[in-house]
Amino acid sequence: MIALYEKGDRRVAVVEEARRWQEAGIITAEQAARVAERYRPELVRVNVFIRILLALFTTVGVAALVALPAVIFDVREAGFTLLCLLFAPLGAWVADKKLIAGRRLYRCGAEEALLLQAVGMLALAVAIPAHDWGHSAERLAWLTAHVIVLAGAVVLTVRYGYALAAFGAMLALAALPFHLADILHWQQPPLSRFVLLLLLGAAAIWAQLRLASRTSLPRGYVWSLETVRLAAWAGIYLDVNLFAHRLLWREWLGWIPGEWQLPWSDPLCALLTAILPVAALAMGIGRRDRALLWFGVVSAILSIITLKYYIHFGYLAEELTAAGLLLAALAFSLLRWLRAGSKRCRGAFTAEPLLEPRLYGLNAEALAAIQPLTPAVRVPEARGFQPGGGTFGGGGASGGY
Amino acid sequence: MQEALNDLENSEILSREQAALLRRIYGRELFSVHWELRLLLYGGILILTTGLGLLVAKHFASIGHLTLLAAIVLGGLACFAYCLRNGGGFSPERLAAPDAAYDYVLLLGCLLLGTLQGYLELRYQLLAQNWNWWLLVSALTYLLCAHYFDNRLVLSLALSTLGAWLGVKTSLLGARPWDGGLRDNALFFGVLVVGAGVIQARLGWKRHFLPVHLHLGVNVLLAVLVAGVGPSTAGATYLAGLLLACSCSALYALRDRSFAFLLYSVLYGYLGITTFVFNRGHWSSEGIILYFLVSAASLLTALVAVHRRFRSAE
Repeated sequence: MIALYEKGDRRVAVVEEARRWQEAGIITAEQAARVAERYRPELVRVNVFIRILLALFTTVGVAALVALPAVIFDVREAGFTLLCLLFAPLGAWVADKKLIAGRRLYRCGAEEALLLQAVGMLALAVAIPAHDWGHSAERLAWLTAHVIVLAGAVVLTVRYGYALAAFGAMLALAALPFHLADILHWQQPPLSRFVLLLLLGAAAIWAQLRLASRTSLPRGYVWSLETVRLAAWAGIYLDVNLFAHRLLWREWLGWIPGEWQLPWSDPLCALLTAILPVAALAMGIGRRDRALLWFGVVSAILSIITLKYYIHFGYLAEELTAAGLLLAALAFSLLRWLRAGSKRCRGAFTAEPLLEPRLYGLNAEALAAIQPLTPAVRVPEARGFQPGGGTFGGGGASGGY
Repeated sequence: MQEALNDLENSEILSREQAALLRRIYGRELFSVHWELRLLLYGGILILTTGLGLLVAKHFASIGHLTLLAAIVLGGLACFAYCLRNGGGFSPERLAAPDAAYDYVLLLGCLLLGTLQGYLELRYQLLAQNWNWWLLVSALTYLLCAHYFDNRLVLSLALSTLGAWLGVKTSLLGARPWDGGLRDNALFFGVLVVGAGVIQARLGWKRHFLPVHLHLGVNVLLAVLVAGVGPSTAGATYLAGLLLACSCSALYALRDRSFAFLLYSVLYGYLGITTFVFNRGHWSSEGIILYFLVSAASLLTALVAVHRRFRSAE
């Protein structure tokens, strides 16, 4: 990652964290102001909503800018390739040199949109003219475009630390086995899924290993690694759990999309549907890793609903009622157990809100009208939370998610 | 972050105790699972109420109506009793939730109340053709609960139920989606929600409910006005109303540095103006592209200017 962003991003992180400390009542407003003054970043910080608007209208503007000469000069495939090849490096140059280096506008929306569009245009420049070259060449060109998107997203992630680019890279990676199967005429559909699982598993393990040294990594790079890890976990879970939907389709429609030919696949998928959330929860608790904990909780709730399509415990109504009661009782018991501990802690864990979740510039109130997890109405404590307990260290823990 | 904490402690911006607490949090020696448990509770309650709804629909003949009714009523009463016992009573100001489960127990009570009303209507058809009045009863009850127990989650539920009642009531009168009648009702609902929030805030009564009112009300209002800007004869009037509403929303955003409202005003405004422009007159392909090019460039310039003015607004 470029040194300028790395240094500037660290200062932005300290200022943002200081705001959270203030909201939690750990420090006063005056202290937060002194932190902000001391760590005033060189990079310009753009509000997330303005960032969305800048990204949106940059995309509209660039698309119109490319389309205008295409329409005026009535260009065909070769002309479109020329336009893309002209605008892709131009967009990347404007984003990098003019916006980021020149105006210190990093993560302002406009430069992110420009860079993503540059990658997209390069891919299109390869794929579109192949339309006239015959069926095989066209398929190969689209595969090349796919690889360009994958490589471009990886480059954007490594150079600029954009989590969105990391997510795009994961999507491109996940789609690659199916694209390859189409090109290479693999007759065994399970082979694509097997390659997919291998790729996602490798990405998850790699990201997990890289995250072990997260304290020394730039913030954007940590977010990107988190994105890769969660996308890989989610991809594996969805792939396994899609079988639940396959069985659901059979139950409801009497139709099965793509019959699985191996006899042990259904029990294996059922087992993994049950095991993956438990494994994520266990790892999340063991490493005190918030991202894995959230993934574990969400996937556990999904598994409770979908496991019935593998193993018939009873009727849906009874199952859901029992599962709901179990989940609510579990959460309620855990809350009481943690609060009853010494200084409201059990080991390193507490159910007290320490710092509000980081919303990356989003106003928590803005989400209150639409999100279920409305933040509790809290009055900041005068001296902040004064906990005790917690004796074991945080090796391998994930910070700052 | 550890380096920054050392620096802030050495420069005496943070006290030793504050730095020590923050070091423990960032070192994961102290780890809060507050939000994870809230998520688990919320998921549990949603699954439970869905299961109960299905259970009632499936077994109301075999279990016996009175047994089911008694179970739902007892469950609901238990939830409200818990909230009454643990809550701090009514206050026009913000109230701290006694524990993390409190909000969700109240939500469960409210959802059980909805299940009870649905069951009563399904079994006894108390209101028959006028069943939509149950929605109004629910909305008013939820509103009462939201204000008494100081809960924004139930307030969102109340406002959306109220909107649903208005929509259902209008559709029962024969209106199609986005017909004039439905649009008028939605307009009225949006103004009502925003107005109620503003009046409450002015009176100093549950001021912290204002954002919920504004986000919901402004979105409904702007969406309805955009839907009205079309080929209809009243399109110009709707456009004028849309521009007025967008201006108010943008001014509020700039005054209160609540930039979500700037996003709403720019997006809805752009959509409305674009719809209006393209619905009037025949445009060539070049003209359409030129419109998008010029409008995007103008908006980018304006947004950069706004951003410069509020440079520190993150």
